[in-house]
Amino acid sequence: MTVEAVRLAVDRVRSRLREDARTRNGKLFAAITALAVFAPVMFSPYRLEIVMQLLIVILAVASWVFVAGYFGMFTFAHAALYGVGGYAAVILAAEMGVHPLASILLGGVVAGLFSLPISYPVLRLSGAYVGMVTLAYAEIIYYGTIILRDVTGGPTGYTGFPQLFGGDRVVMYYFVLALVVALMLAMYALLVNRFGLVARAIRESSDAAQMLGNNVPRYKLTGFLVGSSIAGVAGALQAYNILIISPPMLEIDQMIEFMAMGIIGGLRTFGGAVFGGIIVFGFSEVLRDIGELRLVVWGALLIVVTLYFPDGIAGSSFDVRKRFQEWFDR
Amino acid sequence: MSLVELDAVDAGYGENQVLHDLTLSIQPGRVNCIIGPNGSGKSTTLKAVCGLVDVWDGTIRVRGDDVTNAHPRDVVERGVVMLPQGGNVFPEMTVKENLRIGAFLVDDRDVLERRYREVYEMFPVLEEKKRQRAGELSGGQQMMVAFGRALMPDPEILLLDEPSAGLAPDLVDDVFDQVERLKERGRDMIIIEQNVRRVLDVAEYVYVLDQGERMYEGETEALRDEDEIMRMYIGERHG
Amino acid sequence: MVSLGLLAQQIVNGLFFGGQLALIAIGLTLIWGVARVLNFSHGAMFMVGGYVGFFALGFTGSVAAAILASIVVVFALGWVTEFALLEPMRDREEFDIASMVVTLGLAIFLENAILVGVGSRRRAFPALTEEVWRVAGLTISVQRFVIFLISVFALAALFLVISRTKLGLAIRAVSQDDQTALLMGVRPRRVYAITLGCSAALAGLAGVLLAPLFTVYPSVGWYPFLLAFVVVMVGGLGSVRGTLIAAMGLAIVRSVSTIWVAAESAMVLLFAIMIAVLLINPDGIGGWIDG
Repeated sequence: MTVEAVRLAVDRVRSRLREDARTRNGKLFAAITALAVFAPVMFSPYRLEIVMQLLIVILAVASWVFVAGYFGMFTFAHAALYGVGGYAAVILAAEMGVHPLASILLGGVVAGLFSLPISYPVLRLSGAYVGMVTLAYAEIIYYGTIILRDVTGGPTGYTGFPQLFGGDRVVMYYFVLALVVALMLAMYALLVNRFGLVARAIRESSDAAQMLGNNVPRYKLTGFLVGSSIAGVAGALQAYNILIISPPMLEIDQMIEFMAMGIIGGLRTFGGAVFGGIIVFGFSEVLRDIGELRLVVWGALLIVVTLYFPDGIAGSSFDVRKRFQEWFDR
Repeated sequence: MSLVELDAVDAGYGENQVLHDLTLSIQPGRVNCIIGPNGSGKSTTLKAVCGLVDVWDGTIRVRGDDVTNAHPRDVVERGVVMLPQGGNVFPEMTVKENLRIGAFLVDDRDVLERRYREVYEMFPVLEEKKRQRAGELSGGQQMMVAFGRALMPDPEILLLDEPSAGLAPDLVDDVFDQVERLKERGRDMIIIEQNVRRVLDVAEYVYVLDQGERMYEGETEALRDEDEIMRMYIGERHG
Repeated sequence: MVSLGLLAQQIVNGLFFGGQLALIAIGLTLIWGVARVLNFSHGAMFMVGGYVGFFALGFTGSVAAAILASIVVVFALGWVTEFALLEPMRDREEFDIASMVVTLGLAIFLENAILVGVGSRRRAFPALTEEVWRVAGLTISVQRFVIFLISVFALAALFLVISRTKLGLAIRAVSQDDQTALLMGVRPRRVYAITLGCSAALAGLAGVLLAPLFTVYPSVGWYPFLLAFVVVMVGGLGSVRGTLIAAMGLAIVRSVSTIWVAAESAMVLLFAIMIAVLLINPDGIGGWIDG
């Protein structure tokens, strides 16, 4: 890759950003980011921690949308790899004296490594079969964290690892915000360039993409690896944020949550993760008082969105008149 | 009364209109064929009759009963049975089960037995292989299963959707032999074919379709005098 | 060294467990084979069956009535699921994934609706009998034996329906080629709904039959679902015979392996077997024996 090519890619990102910033979603994102920047001033420490969790979840969901939405590799292993990143980071920091900041990066690397064994079947299979094989792998990792109690702390989880920035929550908040925004931008940059184009081509028809001269397995592997590594980074951040990592963090319930957020937000639009994260996660925080009823709402929301808004909230028009018109045209 | 009647039918898939104001009246007691270039709507016409394609406007009747946009089952009940392109036998079922499902709407045991006998009499090889899975048979035998299955409900009229499409030349001969035998037994048919020469040898009445509109209809013999139609749709390339 | 007696005991336990597993898994493989739906709400149907049975038993005091009520209610649930949730999406290109997501949504919905409605308390389901037989040094729980017999009976009934009846003919036709079946006068939509109903009813039956062993609580369905899921994958999605073999085989593997390792490790073993089978042949055991 030459300097010239990099410059072209950057130009492309810049012009796409300018375009996208003018859309409904773009304006909303700008507002949300601005809000996020001032969050430490506006919210109580407790609330700030929730916002931080939300940011990290958005990153995790976005990395799943990157794999599942753009490439069509409907993986169930994402939450497990998110958990692997978390475990790897805090264990490296606590047991081997790795600097916490470096351990976050290493969490991503380890998650990427853990995605490799399952990438072969994921690349070979298609459609629902990808979901099945990754679900099995996720369960293996989940049970692994329980079985390997000497390393992971077993069912009760792993605690007592060093804190980020000596426990300064505000500095940590800005660090999380910056890292989340940077990684989101990195994925965005990949998606608006040739990489994203090929990804969508693969989703529509893997054979056609191959015939057009693209090395489909290499693209899919790269996509899977990048998405999984970013999930690992998100998991590492989350572990440092909530100061514990335990098996429930990578249980299938967690995966279903990520999925619900991605799908409700919209699998065809990268910003869907932001909407999905805010709506589902924010909703469950606001509705904490009504307890389990919020999960009833989620389940119903997942059904309604899949049935009537297959492109999710980010990808759908809410022009009421237009929807009515479509209704009658049917 | 017409056996099958299309009255000013518009039909198509999604946004794509294929049939334009098509009117056809199929009279009982003869073998009909519909010919026309690719994309002229021949297949869509059959599918519209069978309830497989949305009819946007107009009416389809079978012996006077309105079956526009009816469920395919209602059309089968009225004795209109389609043999899909390629036959599409159920490969995992035995030959006999394939025949049984052909007469899915028949429940009377005696009637069923009689129909089996008629089909086995026409295709003795099917009786020999009745317990074999249809998918294990040769191409020619599978075609017999498909014909037998379509005859099981003893249809008033059989719709054949390009029966010779994609078949090896000797199988094409087989298909037209079967069609000939059905004709001898007085079975009404509507045949859609690319193989115009062959189908004109069997058919007594011809409809010519182009871009979803009817360009010509008449006795096969009369068609031979229509130089313009012959040149445009039958073409020298066939002769 | 493991004593032969323990080994034999674990094999017998595995056999009984295999019967239970087959009962849960067969419905899962059936709807994939016929309707191409990987039903993530299968475990929730199992759970609903358990609750219906629990309340029906409390109301009528009759185990037979409880079983019947579970079958009927969960059949209806499956039927409604097809018409309300799956049918509207059937023409979509990515139906296999969309149906997975929708049934996942349904599972979350049902589980938590029950949680909100009746609480998370585990409901103890009375044992059919506490009696135990001792045969040739083996301990055989009569309850498990009865459950095994009912499972075998239910599966045999299902096979008879599929292979001998007109309905079964229609089901097989639709699973092979729904468009051609339509031309024979079959109504595929109704066949899908009946199949989903039957599959759900089997899960419901399993839910009430196994209630004395599992007790009844809102998330009780997940573990059996995951096990059934592995069985179905190893057996080959859509293959009834493959699923039966896999259910028996995996149940015995799991049961025997627990002599040496913890239950969690046994699960890891099962999932590893599943991935290996998917890699070697995505059609599983069914791909070898049916083809």
